[in-house]
Amino acid sequence: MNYKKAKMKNYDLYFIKTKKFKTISASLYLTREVTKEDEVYCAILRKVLLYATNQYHNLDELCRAGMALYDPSVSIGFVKSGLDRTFYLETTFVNEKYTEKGMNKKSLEYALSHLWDPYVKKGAFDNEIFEICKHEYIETMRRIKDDPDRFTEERIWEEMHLYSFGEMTVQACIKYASKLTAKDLYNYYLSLFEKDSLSVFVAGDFDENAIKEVLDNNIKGNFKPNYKLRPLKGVKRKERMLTEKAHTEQSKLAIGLRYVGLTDFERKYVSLVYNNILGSGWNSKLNKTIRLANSLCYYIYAVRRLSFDAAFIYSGIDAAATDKTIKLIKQEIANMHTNISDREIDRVKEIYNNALTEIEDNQMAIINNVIMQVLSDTDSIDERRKNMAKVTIDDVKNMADKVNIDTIYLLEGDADNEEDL
Amino acid sequence: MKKTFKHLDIDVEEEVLDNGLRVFICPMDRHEAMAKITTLYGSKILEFKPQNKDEYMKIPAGTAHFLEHKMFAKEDSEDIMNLFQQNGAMSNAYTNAHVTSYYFSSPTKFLDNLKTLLDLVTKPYYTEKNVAAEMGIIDQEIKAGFDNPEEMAYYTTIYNTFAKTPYRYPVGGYSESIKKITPEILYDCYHTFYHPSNMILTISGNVPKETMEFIKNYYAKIDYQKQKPIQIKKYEEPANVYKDKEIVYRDVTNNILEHGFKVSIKDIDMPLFKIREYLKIYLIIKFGSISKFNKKCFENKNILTAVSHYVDINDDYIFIDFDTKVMEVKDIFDQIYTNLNDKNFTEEDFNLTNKNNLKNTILLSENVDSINGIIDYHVQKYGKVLYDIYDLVKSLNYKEGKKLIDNLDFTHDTRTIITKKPE
Repeated sequence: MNYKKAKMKNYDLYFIKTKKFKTISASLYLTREVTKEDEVYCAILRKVLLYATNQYHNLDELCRAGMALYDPSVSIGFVKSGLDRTFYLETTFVNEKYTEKGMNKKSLEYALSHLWDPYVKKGAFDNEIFEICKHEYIETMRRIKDDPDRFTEERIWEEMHLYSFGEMTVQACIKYASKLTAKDLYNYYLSLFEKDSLSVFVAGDFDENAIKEVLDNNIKGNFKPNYKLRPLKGVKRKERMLTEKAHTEQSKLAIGLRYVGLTDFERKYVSLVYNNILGSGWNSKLNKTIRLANSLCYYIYAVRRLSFDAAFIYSGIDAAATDKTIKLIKQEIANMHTNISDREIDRVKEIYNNALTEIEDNQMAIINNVIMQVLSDTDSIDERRKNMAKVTIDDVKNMADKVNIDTIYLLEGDADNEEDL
Repeated sequence: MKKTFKHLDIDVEEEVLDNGLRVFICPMDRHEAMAKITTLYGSKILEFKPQNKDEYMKIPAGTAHFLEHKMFAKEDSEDIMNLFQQNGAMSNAYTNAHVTSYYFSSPTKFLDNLKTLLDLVTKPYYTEKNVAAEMGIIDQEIKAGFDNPEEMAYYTTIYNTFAKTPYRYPVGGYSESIKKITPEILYDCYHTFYHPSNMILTISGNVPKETMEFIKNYYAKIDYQKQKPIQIKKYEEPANVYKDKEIVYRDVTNNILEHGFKVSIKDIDMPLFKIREYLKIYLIIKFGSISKFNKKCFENKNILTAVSHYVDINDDYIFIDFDTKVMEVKDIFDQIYTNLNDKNFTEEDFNLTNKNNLKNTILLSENVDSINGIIDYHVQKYGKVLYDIYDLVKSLNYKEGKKLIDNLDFTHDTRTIITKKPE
C-alpha cells in the first residue's frame, strides 16, 4: 500500500489513500527513549486524558458529545519497544459521505481534543479526576495476582530483566504511583510536546488539505525530529528456574528465551520462521508434543518480542506433570537444531504471505504497516515477500544456536485443589 | 436466490440445498474470504431423542464442546487443523450454549479450504483412544476456567439464575462430567445434530463464482437420509431464580460482584429482534458511558471498574449479567437493581443511542467477519436474515421502546460475590 509524506511544521504526516472503507482512521505516535517511570506515567495519563477535556469536564458529557458525532472511537495507549516508548492516540470515525457533511472535521477535532485540550486547573490536571485514575491504576496493578495467566506474564517479564535500568516490578509501580501528584503528571504530559517526536498517519478517502488544516489548527508542540525505534539487543545469561505457589488447580508455565547475536535478516525473517515452527499454531512442535501427543495442556504457544530480542513460551499445564512438560519443551527446543522439514518452512511462508495480503483488508492494519516501515526498519511488503522466500532450513537451524533459555517461571498449582459447582 | 441488504451495498446469494443445508454467500471487495459452518447444537442440549432411537437420551454436561474438539480428528487423513495451516488459512471453532461453529479465513486456496471445512463436519471419527486423549486436554481447559475468579463469578451467576435448563452449566462441562463421555455418545449426538438440515453455511469476502456449485457437488456425493424433526427435552423454567445469593471464597485482591437477572419474554408480543435492540439501547442509556449511573461509579473510589453488562436470550428468558470489581461490597447490588428498575429515560437519550446503533449497522459491511457473523446470528435467532436491518434499526422509536421496557420484569435476580475467605 502506497503512502505519501507531507512535511508539517515540526512533525511528519503520512497519508494513505484508500476507498475500500466507510471510515477514516488516524494514528498519532509520540516517541522517545524509554525511562523506568514511563510505565506509571503513561498508564495513568491515558486514563486522565480519556475521562475529560477542557470543553467536557465529565465522562458522560464527553461521551455524549462523541455520540452526537456518530461516536468516533478514540483510544490512547503506550507501548514500550526496545529502547523507546511510544504514547499514541488512535481514532476511527465514519466518513461524512455516510453521515452528515462536516463530520470529518468535527470527529477529528473531537479526537485531537483528548490530547491537545485536556481538563487542566491551575497548572495541573483536575485533582479529583487524577486521584480516581491513580487509584484505579493502583488497584488494577494489585489485582494482577488474581489472574494466573496475567500474573505469570508479569513475573517472567520481571525476572528476565530486559532493561538495563531494570524493569519496574508491579510493586515498584504501585509504590511510585502512590507518590505521584496531578502536577507531576501534568509536567510529564507537557514534556510529550518538548521531548517526543511526533508522526501522524491518516488513512481513508478524504480531502488532504482539509485534514491538514484540522491538524495544523489543533496540534501544538516543539517536537523533536523523527528517529527510528531501536531494538534492545539480547544478552546471554545462565538458565535459571523460579517456582512460586498459587491456590489454583492448574500450573502456569512461562519460559523466557533470549536471541543473542542475530543478523538483521535473522531478526526480521528467520526468527519468525523459527518461532512459528516451535510454538505458533496447531502444527507447531510444542502443540504437537505437549498437547496432542501427551495431553498435558489445553494451550501452549510461543510469542516473539522482537524489539527485546526475546521470545516467551506460555502454557497452562497439569500441576502433576510439571517436570515431564518442561523436559518435553526443552527437547523440542533442542530439536530446532536438527529436526526441521521443508513442509514446516513452507507452512510458515504461506501463512506469512497471506497475512501480508490481508493487511489491505483492514484500515488500521494498513496504518500499522506504514508505521512499522516509517518508525522501525521494517521492509516494504514486496521486500518482505522476497526476503521471506529466501529463508532456508539451514537458516533456521543456525538461528537455533542463537536462542538461549533465560528463565523458566512456574506458578505452581495444587493438583489436589479440586472444587466444582 | 439473490437478496440485498438494503442501504448497505451488500448482496447475498441464498439457497437451501436438497439435504436442508442453508447456504449464504456474500461477495465483498476484499482479499480475504471466510466460511463458517454452524450446527444448532450447543451446550444447553443435554436430553434429546437420537435419530435412530425412540427414547430420550441424557448426555453429560460438556458433550457439545467435547464433540467440537473431536471433529478435528479424522480416520483417513491428517488432523484437519494441519490441512488448514498448510494452506495458510486461519481456522478455529467454538461452542456456546446455543450452537457449535467451525470457520476459516484465507485470501488464497478458498475452495481447497472450503472442502477441508466440509470434510471437518461430515466425517466423524471417534475411538476409545482418541476420546481418552482429549479428556486430559479438555480437563486442563476446564480447570483454567475455574481457576480464574472472573469466570468463576460468571459460572456461579448463570447457574443460580436458572433452575432447570442446562443453559445454567458451563459450556465445557465439569472435570467429572466429561469423564462419562464415550465414542457412542458422540456418534449419537453427531448423527442427530450434524445433519445438514440442522446447519448453516455462511461465506463472505473474496469468493470464487463457482462456490455454490462446488458446495452442491460436494454434498451430492453424500447420501443423507431425510431427518425427522429433532426432539429436544423442554424444561419448565420457573420465573424465579434458583438461588438469590452466593459467596464464593477465592484468593482475590478486590471483590468481584456479578449480578444476574432473569427476564421473562413469554408474554411479550413483539419480534425478538426488536426486543433485543430495545433492551440493548435501554441498558446503554442506564449503564453506558452517557449514564448518570456510570458517572457515579467513576466518582466512587470504592468501585474499581465500570459496571459492564452482557445480554443473552435463552428460549423464553433474557439473561442480563452485570459485573464489576469493588473494594467493599456495600450496596452496589442494590444500586444496580434500582437503576435497572427505574425505567425512566428520555427520548433525547434514546435517539442519541439509536443514532450510534444505526452507525454500527452501516459499518457491518466493513469487514468480512462482521457480515458473516450477522448473517449466521440472524438465522440462528430469527430463522432468517433480516435484509432490511437498516430500516428496522431506523424505525426503532422511543414510544415503542418505553412501552416494552415498562412491560419487562427486572425483579428476579441473583447476586454473586467472589471474595477472600475471612481470617
